[in-house]
Formats: sequence, structure tokens, C-alpha cells
Amino acid sequence: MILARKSLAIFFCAFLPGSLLADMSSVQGWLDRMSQAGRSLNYEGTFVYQHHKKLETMRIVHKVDEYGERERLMSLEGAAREIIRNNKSVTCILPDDKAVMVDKSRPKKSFTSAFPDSFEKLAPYYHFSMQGHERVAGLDTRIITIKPKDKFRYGYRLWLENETGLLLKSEKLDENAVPIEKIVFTSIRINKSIEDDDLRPQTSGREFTWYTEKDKDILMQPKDSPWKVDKLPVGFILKHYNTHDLPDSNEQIKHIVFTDGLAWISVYIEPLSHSKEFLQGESHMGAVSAYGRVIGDYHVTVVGEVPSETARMMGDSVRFTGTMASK
Amino acid sequence: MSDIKEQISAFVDSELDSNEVDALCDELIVNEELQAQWEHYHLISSAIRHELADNVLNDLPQRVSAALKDEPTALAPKHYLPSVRSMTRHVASFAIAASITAVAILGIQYYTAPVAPEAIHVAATPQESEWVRVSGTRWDMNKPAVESQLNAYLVKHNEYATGASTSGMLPYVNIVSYDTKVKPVPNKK
Repeated sequence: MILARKSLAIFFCAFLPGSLLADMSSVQGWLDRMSQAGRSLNYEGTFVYQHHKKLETMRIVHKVDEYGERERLMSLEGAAREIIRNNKSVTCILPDDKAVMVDKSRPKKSFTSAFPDSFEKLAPYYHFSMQGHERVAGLDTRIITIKPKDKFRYGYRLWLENETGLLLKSEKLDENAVPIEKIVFTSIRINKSIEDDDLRPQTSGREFTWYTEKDKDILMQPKDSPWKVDKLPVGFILKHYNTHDLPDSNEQIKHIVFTDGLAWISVYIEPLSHSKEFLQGESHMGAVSAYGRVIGDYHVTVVGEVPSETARMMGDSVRFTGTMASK
Repeated sequence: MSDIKEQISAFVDSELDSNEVDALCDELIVNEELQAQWEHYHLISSAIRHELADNVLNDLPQRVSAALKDEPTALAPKHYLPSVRSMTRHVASFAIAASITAVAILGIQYYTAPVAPEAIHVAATPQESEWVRVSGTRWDMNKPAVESQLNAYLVKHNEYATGASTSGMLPYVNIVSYDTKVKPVPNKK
């Protein structure tokens, strides 16, 4: 019943002006709408992705119909990188690498259980507040600020479109509340019909090398992971444990995923190989931190949108607790 | 207004420091005229670099002529780097118009039937070096094998982390993002 009422609230939120519903005045209500809008609306727009001093322009097309949710994301500058996503797969077209990578999508379940359900669980680690109005891409938005209560995770500012709740601008903030990554729509069309052609890649990919996932991920019980991470920021829990073959690798890789409900961190463990070079120490890309080190015959890599200190702390505390057979 | 235009062109070329970028972003968000200007510079930048997508190419001739009409200041490649900032300064508009048109037309050829770099060079910018794209790093290191590995990890990570809602709408932005650089090479004569 509670669930039904919630769905009903979301349904109405999509059609009623903001001031009419008490729910919408709350941060929770707005975040619910944001999650729902991102999944259920048709939209296409151009946005700027800014990280460090770099600025890139991209276009996104999102369509929902009887075939489910489909999305195409493409770079408008530089190499014509594209990502095509549907309910079954994610295809990354990387012309500069002459490569196409195909990976199957995670079940949609992980989308829907995103923000709303974990909101209360986030309260001990983040402070949420509403901070007024602003116009983005010509549309009125409400601003939500999410501030971490420690230095192990990033903060966020979100600009949600007034009518639909769609996210039109977001900033990731470092420990001094300085933006380290921004996404801003400069133009967007919401709830307009989208042609199927707009969802097709512009590259045929015929001359490219195709990498496809050979086997499905084998999902395992998180508690069965023989690899442990001893030092986790408070609130992070082990969410997924699986083994899989990476698209461009023959090796089986252990993959452990941690989350506090908002930030996500992956830990990958794979056997060392003489023919392969691994990350040693820290690296960054935008707000993504990576940290790699060798443990015995294995290499451990931590990847996530968290401060580098968090990735390093976790990477340094990885240890094997099982038997040789379970490696 | 011209100062802010100058800033936008510097912005497009990633030549502003982060404070300037912040200030300009704030201005861009609320000013539709500036947004149009900004898109316009991007179009020029892309045309110069032969990087326009097919869907942009469809209406390119109109957009280029509109761009040229609206742009009283000059547009021409600097000695080697096709920087919008440099293009928006100091060059006679006639030369510029010729140059842009040549690039735009060749840009179309480049996508429909790739032509030899020499041909592009000769036709588009007779006295300049040609431009080539070199692989850059998006991770802050210079080890392609390791970067490729990290990218594969990141694709997989994003699949599991799509529940992370703030960037949930765009979990792949960091993969599509690029940071390849354009650098000059000596003429092949």
C-alpha cells in the first residue's frame, strides 16, 4: 500500500506544479522525482561536461517506449565517442581506439532502487538542503545541496527542472565545496518525440575491433568474497561480489562493489601477468580516482568517484582471507 | 560584450583558469545570447578540426554562412593550432571566410570519403602545417595499456554503479569524454 501511494505520488508529481504537493517541498520528494524523470521521460539535449580545466560538449538522447529505455550519448568534439544503451546491452564506440566494446547492462532493478530507498540511510553521512531557484538552459530549476559529513566522499549540487524534476545541472564538490566536475545542459527538449534514427550510432564500426563479453557475470554472495577490504569509510557496505571476464581480457576478474548509497567504489582483483602492465599508485580522470597495487601474485585496482584518499585507504587495506582454491 | 565573447572563445579552447570558468559558466547559464555564441564557437572549432558529426553536417552550409555573417571579427587558423581564441582575432574576414568554407567543405568530404591529409592541408590552409590528432591521455598518466585497462574497469564499474543517481542519468559521461590533443606536424612536401 505504501508502495502504491508512493508510485501514485510520483505519477502526480510529474504533472502537477511544484507548490501543490507537500511531498515536493521535501528534498526526498525532489530526489524521487529526479530519479523517476531520468528514467521515464523522453529528452534530448546538449550539455557541457567540465572537469578540471577541461570542457567538453556532449549530446544525449533518451527515449522510453514499448521497447523499454534507450539512450545514446555522444561526444560532439574530438573523437566521435558514443555510448548506446538499451535494456540488454551497453555499446561503447571509441573511434580513437578503433574499438567497439559491448557489455550487457545490469538489470534495471539497480536503477529503480537507486536514490529514494537509500535516502534515510544517507542521512548519517550527508547533509541535504534545498537552496532556492535558478534558470538552466532556459528552464526554472530547484537547487539541492548534498554535503558530505567527512572527507571520504564528494558533495553535490543538483539543479532539478521545476516541472519534471529532470536533472539539468550537477556539480561534484570537493572537501572545500569547490566544484571538481560539472555537467550543465545548455539546451534540452523534454517530452518531445524522439526518432529511432537519433538512437543509432553514426559510426558503422566495420573497421573497428569488436570486443564482446564472453561470459555473463557470475554474481556471488557478497559475504563469500575471500578478498576483504579492512578500511572502509563509515557507511560503505559491500554491495556486489562477482567474477567476470573483462571485454578486452582473457582473465577472470574478481569484482567487489561498495557503496554508501550515493558514492560507488569498485575493487578489482586479477592475477598478475608478465605481459600486462598494471596501475601502480594513484591516477585520476575527472572526479574518478583509481589506485593500484600488487598483493602477492595479484593486482588490486580501486576505481570510484571518491577522493583519492579514499581509494588509497581502501586499496592499501585489501587482503586475502580465503584458501588458495578460492582465489 | 566583446570581452565576454573573448572569454567564451578562451573557454572553448580551455584557456581560462577555474575561477574564470566558474564565473563564465554562471553567466552562460542565464544568458541565452551567450549560449548561442558559445555553440557558435564550438561549431567553428569543430569545423576547423574536421570533427563535425554527420547530423551537424546536414545543415552545416547554412550554419557556416550564418556564422560568418554574424562574426565581424576574424576567423583564421593561427600558425599551427586551430584555436578559436586565435581565430577570433586580427585576420581579414575575406581570408577567413575562404578558409572556413574550405574547411567546412573538406570536412564533409572527410566524413563521406576520407581524403589524403595532404589534400586537406593544401586546400584548407595553404601556408600552414597540417593538423593531426594524437592520442592523449584522459587518465593523468601516459601508459596506454594501463589506461585501456582502467577504462575497461570503469565501464564495468559504471554498470554496477548506475544506481548512483546523481550522475545516474549520465553514468557514461566520463567514458565519452575525451582529452586528445591536436598538435602540429611538419609539412610533408
